[in-house]
Amino acid sequence: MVVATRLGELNVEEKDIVQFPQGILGFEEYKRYTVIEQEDSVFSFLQSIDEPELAFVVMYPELVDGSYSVALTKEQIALLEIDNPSDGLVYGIVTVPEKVSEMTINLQAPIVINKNKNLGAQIVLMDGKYHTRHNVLAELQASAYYEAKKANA
Amino acid sequence: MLVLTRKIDQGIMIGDNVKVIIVDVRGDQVKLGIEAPREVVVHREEIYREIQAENARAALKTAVDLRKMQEAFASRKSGQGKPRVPSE
Repeated sequence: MVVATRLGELNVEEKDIVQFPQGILGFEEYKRYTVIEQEDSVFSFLQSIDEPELAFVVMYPELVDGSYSVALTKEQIALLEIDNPSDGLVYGIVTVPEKVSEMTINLQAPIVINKNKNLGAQIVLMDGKYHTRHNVLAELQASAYYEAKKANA
Repeated sequence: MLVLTRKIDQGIMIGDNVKVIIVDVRGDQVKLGIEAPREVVVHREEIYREIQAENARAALKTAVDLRKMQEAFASRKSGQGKPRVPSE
């Protein structure tokens, strides 16, 4: 199907449409999204199918924090119909301010998608380890520093 | 705001498919049980507000320069950017 998006009109196949039964926090009425990957970029778009103007930049959190992991509750596992941990794809929503170097990633409320069932949700992590505005470049630098430190220990 | 007084184990219906039950009361803490269909998202209010606000900030309003973002990311990753060692 042809979908109007922020990137222009795109051809989106049914198999690429992800249902978000709960929508995304603050945008609950929009239930269908698709992930648009960009060539040569770690940044992708999470584009609403129902509202062409609604899109988010997303990226894999492990690129910023190599030890990032999401522990789902049994309600969340049921919501996403996850049978196997490998079914899940995790993205963090990136907030891009005027100054690109200040972009932040929301590690407290990642987007989790069950790629086998095309079901998605924004999961809120309550363990206190993450918050909503991790500076992408600073944390990238930090994790490289700690990895180098570990390697040199 | 509608204010209702309930005892432990009593419930409140919100619409025809959301039920809130008082599970326990201990000092100034109230434990609530919520029964709602899968499509209804349930969160502690302050958490909900913060995530909602950050999502609103993140939702794209203008064209975003992905190329600039990718360049910033790639150069920081390979360490070409100004080195900044985080304080321990």
